[in-house]
Amino acid sequence: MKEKPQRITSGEWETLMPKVPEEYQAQCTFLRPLVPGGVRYLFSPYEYSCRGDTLLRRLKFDSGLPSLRLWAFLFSEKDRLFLAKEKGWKIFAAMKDLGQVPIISYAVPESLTFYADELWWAPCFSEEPHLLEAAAELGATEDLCYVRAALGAYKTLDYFPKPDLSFAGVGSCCDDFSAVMQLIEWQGNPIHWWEIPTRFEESPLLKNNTFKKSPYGDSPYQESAVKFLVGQYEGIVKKLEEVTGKKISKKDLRESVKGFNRIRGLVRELRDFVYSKKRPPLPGLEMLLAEFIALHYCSEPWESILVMEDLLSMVRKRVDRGESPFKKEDPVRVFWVTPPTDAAILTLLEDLGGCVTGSEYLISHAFYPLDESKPPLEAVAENYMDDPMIGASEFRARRIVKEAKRFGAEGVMITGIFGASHCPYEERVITQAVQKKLDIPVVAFDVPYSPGKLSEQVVNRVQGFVELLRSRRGVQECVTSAVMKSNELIDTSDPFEYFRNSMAREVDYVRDEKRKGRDITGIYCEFTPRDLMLAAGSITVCLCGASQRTVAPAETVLPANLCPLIKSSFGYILTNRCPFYVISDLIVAETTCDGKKKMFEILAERKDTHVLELTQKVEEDEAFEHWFGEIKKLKKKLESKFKVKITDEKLREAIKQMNYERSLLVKAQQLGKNKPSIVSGKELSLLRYRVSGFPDHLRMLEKFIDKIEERAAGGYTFAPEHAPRVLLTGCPTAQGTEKVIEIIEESGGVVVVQEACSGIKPIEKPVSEKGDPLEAIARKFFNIPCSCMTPNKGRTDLIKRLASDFKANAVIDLVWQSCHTYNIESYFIERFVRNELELPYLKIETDYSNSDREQLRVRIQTLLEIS
Amino acid sequence: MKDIFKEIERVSCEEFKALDEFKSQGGKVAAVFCRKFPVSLLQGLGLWPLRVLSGATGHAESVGERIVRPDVCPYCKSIIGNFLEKNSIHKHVDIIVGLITCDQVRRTLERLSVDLKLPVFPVQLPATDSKESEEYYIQGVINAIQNISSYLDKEIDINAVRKDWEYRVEAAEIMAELMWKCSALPLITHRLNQLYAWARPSGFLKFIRQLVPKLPEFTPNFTVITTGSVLCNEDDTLIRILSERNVCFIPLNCTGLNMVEGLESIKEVPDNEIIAALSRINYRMPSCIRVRPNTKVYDRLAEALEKTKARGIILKTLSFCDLWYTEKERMKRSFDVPVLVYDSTYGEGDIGRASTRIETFLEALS
Repeated sequence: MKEKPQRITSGEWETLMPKVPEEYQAQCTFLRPLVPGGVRYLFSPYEYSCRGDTLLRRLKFDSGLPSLRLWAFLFSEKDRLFLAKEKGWKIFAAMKDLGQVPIISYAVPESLTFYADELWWAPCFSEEPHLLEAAAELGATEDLCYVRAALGAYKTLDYFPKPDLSFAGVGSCCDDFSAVMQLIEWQGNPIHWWEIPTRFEESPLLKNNTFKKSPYGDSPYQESAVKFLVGQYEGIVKKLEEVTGKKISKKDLRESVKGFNRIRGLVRELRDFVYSKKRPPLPGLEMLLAEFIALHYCSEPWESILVMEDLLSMVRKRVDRGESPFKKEDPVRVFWVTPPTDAAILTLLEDLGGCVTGSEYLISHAFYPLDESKPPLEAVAENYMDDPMIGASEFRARRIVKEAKRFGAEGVMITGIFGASHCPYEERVITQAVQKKLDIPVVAFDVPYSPGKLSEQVVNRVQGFVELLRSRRGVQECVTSAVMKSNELIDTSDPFEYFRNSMAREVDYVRDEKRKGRDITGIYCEFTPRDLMLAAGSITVCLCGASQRTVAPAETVLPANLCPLIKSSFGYILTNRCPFYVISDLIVAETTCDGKKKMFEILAERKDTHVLELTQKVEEDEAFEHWFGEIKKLKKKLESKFKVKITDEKLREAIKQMNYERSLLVKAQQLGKNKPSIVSGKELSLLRYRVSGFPDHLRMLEKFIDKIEERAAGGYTFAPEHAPRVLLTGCPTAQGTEKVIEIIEESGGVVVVQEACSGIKPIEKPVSEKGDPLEAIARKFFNIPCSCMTPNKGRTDLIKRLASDFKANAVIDLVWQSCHTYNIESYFIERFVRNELELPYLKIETDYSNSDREQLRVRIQTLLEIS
Repeated sequence: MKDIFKEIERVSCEEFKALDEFKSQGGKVAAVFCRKFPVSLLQGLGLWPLRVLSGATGHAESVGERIVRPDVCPYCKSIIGNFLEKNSIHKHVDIIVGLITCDQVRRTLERLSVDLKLPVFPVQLPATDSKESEEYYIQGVINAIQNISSYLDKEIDINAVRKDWEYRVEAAEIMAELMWKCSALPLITHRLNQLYAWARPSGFLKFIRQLVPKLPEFTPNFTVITTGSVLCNEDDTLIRILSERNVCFIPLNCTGLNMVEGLESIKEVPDNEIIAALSRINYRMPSCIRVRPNTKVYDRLAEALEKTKARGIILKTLSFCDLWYTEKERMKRSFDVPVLVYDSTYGEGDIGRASTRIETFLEALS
């Protein structure tokens, strides 16, 4: 991780992730006072982009580790809020004041405060219009600015849990958000309303008003405004005490003021340091993120300070070394006004050879210190008098002029928002002030909501502006840059690349289908008959459960000694991180093991969940009848839930479709039979996608097979003839948890086949297309030889066949920690492999973390040596 | 009926002449935009107070767009446009008492002050309904009156305030009764409401006392409640259609009943408390949609529905008036009667579309 700073894509970050030192990852934890040791959060933007935050595919990120930490800290805000709520902490939403209420509310222990306003970013970050659609259904339509997304978020609770109380500042507030906040209350959210006074401009006409100046911002204000504001803040304190049952002392408030002074000081220092450099040591996007942290610690007072210190330390080092992520020695210096609706504009500006050299994102008051010599509420109130939003447009224009001059801006870019009540007034005032006082160019334009790609108009404006600024330096050149699109991350001509990024495609597909009215069914296990769901017209999605990231949050509710698959799955639910779960209409679960079974009970409290009871003594005569009964019940459930009739004809059609998909998957898996190997186990594991019946997947599956055959015809082999051929059995490995496969293949072996549910086991047999289709479905799934069955002779039979067909030299039995059924069954598997197959056998018990990678490597290499 | 309109026209002309004369004698005119400022206090300072509700034209909007972008509320744009061109009543205005009611009005007042160099005395009208907010408002009005007094170098005449106020209270009572009883054709009521907003109260009271007994009997087909944004003099498409269809309207808006209800006599109030008392009375006038929470607006609509048995509600909003327009869904879901939401600018282009929608709505109700 000592590469020179650069601006990289989310995909490039992903490739760098394995190089992130374990000790650094361990440092990055949040909510330490709530969860012993804290919860790790350092994951790459790529992971978030795959899970639906598609805008990230269009951005470029700073390559420094502290920048990654900053991004991950921002992304994990949602996790913190859901987790803290789950654990009984109070969650407060502040709205509109931008940097005031949190100073008061963080005086309350065991609580977090976030800004619902910042959700206006959400449509940009996720490019997912569902928040805007939800808001529109309630009356907040396109004529309002994007703050309306907050209403959608309150409605869907996709981005934050229901707050215990929301604080809404009105009065000297934009009309858009005042209207949105009222609708939020209408929807049953408790709100404490408080009044924001207007700051008047000092004028000879107002000689009977007493004017003072704010201690640090030097902003003139009428004294009565601060007195009134202190009263309003006392009301907020009283309300907080009422809701939490805790007394808030002056000392608590003073401590909170100190804490905010610390974070504000760091942000201020960072701004002064970065924006004043000719070649800034940090890109504009990271600066934008950092500036917003000053408002409310990004919902975490403890870690946010460390994040900022880390970032500051990195930029200092860069300056000392003369390093910068900007290639050009002298990027044109642009001062930015109003945060852009589409963050990709910042990337575009920098791609074109510009840089951000100062900003006025309507939060500049939050960079001034709070006067610790004053009573705390008075200090907060005085600071609010520095807010550019509560007074005249001229006030804001003066601040912009001052800051743009201080940082040596060559131009000012104002990115407005159509429908916002302040933009149509401020634009001209700011433009005239900058031109008159600084004589530098100004460009002002609205940024439309344009998911997937920056609007051409915006691109042209930015390009033209950069050209103009360069021409003022005497450089005449035409600047252009390729504008990244959300879907460009995935190369659809390359099946490997396609399946590597299949999740992002799936998220888009499922959301689109949902919008068209399709029902979504979430599942967790191969026993769940996808054919039946397909016949009901529903899309079946295997829900997320393969990330170490969500294990820690889950452990705050579930016992730690559960398998990582259960914990990760539940962690995704707890933090609302699985994009498919959020839009699923129904969850179909099953009683494979005790851990899952009980976890599903908790899940059922949150979403409609139907549990299939698995018959576990498959060899007994009554077993199938029972299972068939369960399948019939599921059919009824689907019919009533989705209001459809599942006819035999629909079932037959669905079986046919699913059989085709299974046949393609089997065909692909069987490529592993070749010796020498023409495909790697890692490549085959890419086919563990989540959405069944997705036409693009089927097309690409065919291409995948053709590609492998084609390259084999060209003489390609993945490994030499003598490379040890491993049959992997045991627990399933989903995308993101393939470390054992990776280690085997990095060590010279080849995973020729996976017997597990993530391999050939659930797909090798089709559903019979003859007879009663429902019974045929029941029979196919009844025969999956899972370790939850007793006895489970089918597994050894399958291993025997696969070992022979795929010419395996060794068997590795993967057991996720605390998976009792596979763990115990290893006793039989080991005996069978060693005695009957006479092959080397290695049992690996591990979890999703990478901490034991090297230990595993040694053990696997030893096995491969003797194979 | 024509005679009634002629009569209103005559009185309007007389008031205009009086205004001209007042100005020619060195009198000063103070403009307000919101019903919640106690204008009698301005009368006490020797000013002619008028509430600006005229000049709502597409042309004025376009002129306003020289200073602000098009995505601004038409009322605000037309104010700027009319002051820029010194149209109509605006040319007489010497000072502005600017109640800060919403973000756009606040910023419109800034433009009048900075770009048009008009003396603007701002007063924040709080958007919260609390004792502290009320006191803040009262203090704001006291400061404004002191500032205007200093600016004019003139002391306030409390007796003049009292006199002016009592005329207004009486006129308001008559107007309220007229509206609740649906005693006049909607267009007559609309014109009278406009006149009430700017004419001298003594003359208006005299006129309305004489006029009401002469009003021809109005037997409406049915009743609707109208609510929403400010209805200016020229913005009368809705009123005209209601009149043509013989439909009674209960105007629960700030240019209708909300403008004339809640006023009370101050005969018993001591002189030194007059400013505070009037400010308090005006602050407590029927609540506005901008107040948070705005449940009182819905309660008032529900009561009015019960009282008048109105068949429907027409929510008339101005484009980019976020505070009213965002209530559209909530309003539709809150009442058992049909709700028509119609938003418009002052441009000619909107009239045809609006008329069709209103007519269809009324047909469905009849």
